[in-house]
Amino acid sequence: MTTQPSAIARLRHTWWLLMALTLVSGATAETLAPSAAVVVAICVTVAVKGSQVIDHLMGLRRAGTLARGLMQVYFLVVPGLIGAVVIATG
Amino acid sequence: MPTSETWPQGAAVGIALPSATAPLRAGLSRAAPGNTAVWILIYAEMTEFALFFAVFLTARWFNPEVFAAGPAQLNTRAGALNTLVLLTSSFFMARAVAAMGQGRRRQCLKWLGLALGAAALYCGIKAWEYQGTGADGIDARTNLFFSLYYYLAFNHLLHVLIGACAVAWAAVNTALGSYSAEDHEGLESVASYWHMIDLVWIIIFPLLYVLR
Repeated sequence: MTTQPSAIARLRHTWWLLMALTLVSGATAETLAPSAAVVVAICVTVAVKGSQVIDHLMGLRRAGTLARGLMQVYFLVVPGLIGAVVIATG
Repeated sequence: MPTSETWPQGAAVGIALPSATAPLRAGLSRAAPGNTAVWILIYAEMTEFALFFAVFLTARWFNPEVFAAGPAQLNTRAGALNTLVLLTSSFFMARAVAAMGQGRRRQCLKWLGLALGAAALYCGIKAWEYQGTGADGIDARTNLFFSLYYYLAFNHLLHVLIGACAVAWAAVNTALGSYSAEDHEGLESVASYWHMIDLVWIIIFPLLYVLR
């Protein structure tokens, strides 16, 4: 991991983004009636949060394609499956 | 000292891996923080949790009413708070690794201490949550949703406790001067494992508490 000031700033920005996404998705789920759109929004938020942690906090952005790719695919497939099942059974 | 990028593949775990797996090892370890062994553990743990998620979704498929009603009976605030705490602890771990990369041992120790504090806070919030659900007369035998809720959440809590022990071990090694700016692969391995625990919770929170 690089330790330039810009790398520290990137970590801070990532943390703020993760906090904001968590609060917004939590508030959305609490205030809006359950619907397919809300489920999709929450699952997209999960995928974005996972991607941010993988790339910036874990530091896999510059890692080998397999190491990063497996993690990124996980955070596309799992939220996608969850969203599909919740919508189908909702 | 050589780093994971300069050592021969497999040297970090002290074994000679067959050449047929060279492309796999190159993909896993090229610039990935930590050693090969911890990445095998991370992928194994994430596969284990993927199976738990598959079981949860299968159970939901056959019991939609029970699973739609379940999240409303959980303490969503506790789940949301723990999400914020775990994400923040991951930020602390990333700062600890960055500090060690600059050779700032005291700064690294400070961030590791904060990460441990966040882990303790997570456990405290979890205890508060379990106390509340218990007081409401909910336990693992209430219905299938709560059986899986307790299994998934408690399993994750165990991983947090194991991860916290690893972070404490990394803090001791940092204090003893075992890591340097050039060689801190052990610290990176612990940080990567901790981030994995955070990643799993990012999925567990909406699955158990939010999606109805």
